Amino acid sequence: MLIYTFRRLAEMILTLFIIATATFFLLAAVPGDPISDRVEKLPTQIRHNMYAKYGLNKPLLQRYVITMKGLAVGNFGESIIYPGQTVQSILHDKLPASARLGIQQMVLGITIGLGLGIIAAMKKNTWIDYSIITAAILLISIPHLIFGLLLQKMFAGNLGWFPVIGWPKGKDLWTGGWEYTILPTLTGCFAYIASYTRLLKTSMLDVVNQDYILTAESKGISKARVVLKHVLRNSMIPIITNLPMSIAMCITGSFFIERIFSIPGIGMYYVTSVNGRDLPLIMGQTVIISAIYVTVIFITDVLYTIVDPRIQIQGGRK
Amino acid sequence: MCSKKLTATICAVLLIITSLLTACGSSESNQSSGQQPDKNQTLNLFFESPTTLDVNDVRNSSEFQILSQVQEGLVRTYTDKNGKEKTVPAGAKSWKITNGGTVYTFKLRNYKWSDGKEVTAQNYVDSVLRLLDPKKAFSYAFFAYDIKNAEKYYAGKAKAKDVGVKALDDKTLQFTLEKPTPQFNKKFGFVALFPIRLDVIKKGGETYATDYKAQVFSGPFVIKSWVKDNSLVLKKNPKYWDAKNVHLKTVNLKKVDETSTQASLFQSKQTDVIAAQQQYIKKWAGESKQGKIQYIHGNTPLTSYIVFNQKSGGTSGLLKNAKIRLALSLAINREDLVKLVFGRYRPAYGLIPNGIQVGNKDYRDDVAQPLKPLYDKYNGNKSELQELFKEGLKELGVKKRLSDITFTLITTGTDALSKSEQEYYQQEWEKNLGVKVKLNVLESKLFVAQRNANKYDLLLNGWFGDYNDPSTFTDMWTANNGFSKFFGFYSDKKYDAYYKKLDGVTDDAQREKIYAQLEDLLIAKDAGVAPIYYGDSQYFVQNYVKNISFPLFGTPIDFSRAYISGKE
Repeated sequence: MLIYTFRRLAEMILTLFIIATATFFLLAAVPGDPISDRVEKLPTQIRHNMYAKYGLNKPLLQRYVITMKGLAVGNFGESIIYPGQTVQSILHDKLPASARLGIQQMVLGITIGLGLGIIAAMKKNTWIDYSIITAAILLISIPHLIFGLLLQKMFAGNLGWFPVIGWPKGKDLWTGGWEYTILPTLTGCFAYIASYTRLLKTSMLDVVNQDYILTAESKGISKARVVLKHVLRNSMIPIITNLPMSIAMCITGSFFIERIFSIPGIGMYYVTSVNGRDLPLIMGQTVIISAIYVTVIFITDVLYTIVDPRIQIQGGRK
Repeated sequence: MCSKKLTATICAVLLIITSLLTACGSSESNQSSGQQPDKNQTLNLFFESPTTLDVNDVRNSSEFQILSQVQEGLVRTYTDKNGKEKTVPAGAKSWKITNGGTVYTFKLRNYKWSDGKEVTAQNYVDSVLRLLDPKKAFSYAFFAYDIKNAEKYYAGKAKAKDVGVKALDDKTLQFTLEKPTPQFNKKFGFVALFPIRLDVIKKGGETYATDYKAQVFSGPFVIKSWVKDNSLVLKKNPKYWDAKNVHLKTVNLKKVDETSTQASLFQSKQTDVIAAQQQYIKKWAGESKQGKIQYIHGNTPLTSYIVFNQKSGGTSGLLKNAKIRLALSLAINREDLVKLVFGRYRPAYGLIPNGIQVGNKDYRDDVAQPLKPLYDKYNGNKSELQELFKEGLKELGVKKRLSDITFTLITTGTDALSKSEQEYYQQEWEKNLGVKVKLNVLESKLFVAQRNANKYDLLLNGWFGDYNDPSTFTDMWTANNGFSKFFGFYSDKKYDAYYKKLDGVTDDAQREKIYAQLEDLLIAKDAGVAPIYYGDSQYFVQNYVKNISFPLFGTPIDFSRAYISGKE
């Protein structure tokens, strides 16, 4: 296990290095640089000085070395579009709102999704099953943007039950101001409901047809007990292995939902930094998100062995 | 909100606006006297979050909006109830212009920073020198180039002490210009020239520009809180020199990107001012007729153009010919465009939009639009237009049928409105001239690459003026200047010669005459560019908001003397 962990760690670092290098050169290959829009209209002398200020007049390889050196010590550099801000300061300011929203969406969505999944599996091939699955497919097909605007217009605009925009701040950041969070949470939770309903239903149906379930049923164990003790536990394998990925995704924010409800989250920064070719921000975000993902993949692999004893890690092989 | 296409094309070119939502400005303010202010003086507005609070580093309207309300420069500009701009002394008490228009001497008012220190003439001098510091690379450094030796200092060819800005004593500030420049009158109130405090900047360190707690303020309001890219709260500055005329106690500014969200906030009175959005103009204009809301509309210093590639003649190779360019320009029915496609704006047959002044007079009131007579003759007359085009072909020695000619139009707009606009031009040319037009819609950085590589015939562009004088629209058409690439490398020796005549002319009537010559040559005789429409500024304001201003330049909204009356 220890050797395995070390090997995976080395692989993770190599992966991150390759991702960072690829991102850097891909960005260099795309036309445009972070300040071209800003300097276009300016006199030549001012343009030269601005390129020099941001180091954009240096040769490509030299900039690559500077960038990678910075990454190695966790210094991603200052944003070019947002002066005085770094990846760290943006994450510090903006991640809490995105994370709270994501966690609320996930907790609500997965809870409802699993409940509906159980019902759909238990009542398979009945109208209940069909309507749950149809609704799930419908919900997952409606874009967040439309859903959010609809909820906002109905419940905040027409009925006035909730504020139209806003997000709790200060001491309410994590545990207060619930009225602000309800509509955005609802908007985002449907994706989880839809995917987890279908995931659990499929996986339960797989398990239900296994021999050991037949055995349990033939022993005369009550249906509820069979479901709780045997079916559900074994159906959880795909759910548990899906969960870390969901968590990684949920804290990285949603551009559309944050935009509709004016939530001070991180989602916007991914989009604007790429459109603006804001190299320090793009590199920093890419590396951090990649780091989260490779870690999550590692955790998922370990989780497999815990929930499914058939999978084992031995001497660096699995 | 102004069209997205505009945002895309103009932003690619213009520094002064990144968001037309907030950049449109101007118009009448509702100055109804005799109404008592309410007890609760709170104003709710939308805004674009500024990228910096450093006055020297301003980039676009989002910074102008905040900084103009929390700092005080030499003058302040309001709009009166007829939409005319009026500039009044602010940080300056009075000034005089001497030595043939080259020396400006300002007497400063006794006013203070929010930490209690007096604002001094040295604060202004420090600001100009810091703006011109080549190492800082501030984008508006060129705005100070009228000042003696400023450009040389920026290029490292002169010393700071040679720059024509001096503090004669604590309250007397003097600018010496390179040469008589009447436009400087319209420039010295600009945000980038506002006074600064070097000691505060030093103390604030690296994050000074974005840390509102590290700032000191000299304007009507101070910043109470700021969640970056989300919301900002202003409180009245009790130390402001004219505090008795500032009624608002709190101003809440929120960033709301989704236009439909903006609309529901305005309709439920949770926000007090909204820039007109295409899909709501009719509805809200109707409500304003019933007296439910105020509809404030006026000019904005923006002209949109179709640019002809005159460097290589374009991918078609035909655009070096003036007759062909003129035929393309005249083939577009501008009235239908603004009516059917935009539902707003004003057709353009000249270079300089309404609202731009020479001295204190509106240029467009005096000078007729040069393209209009030709347009009236040709537009709608297919055979004459085609004849004009064919004459051009003959001059070039090109023997092609009209239907064998293809022009490439490059642009950036991908939203529905931009698409309709692009297709409108395409149809007009195909219908009236019988030529083919290929639309090439590109991501903005790719658009720039394509343009710089000269791979186009036509492109959509626009110009948003920097200050209230025609020169902000005529400066960039001289041969081989830094802006040529945005305008298809137009060049004409006659234009350069007319332009030279402006040098040192201070008489407004004479200047106006030269501007008219330049405009006529560029738009009608050379058809060096095709003006399409002038922008406008349209705002809807709740009835209880009084005395709010929408200046043409700088800040989109000046609410420093606004008040709330009749909301309760």
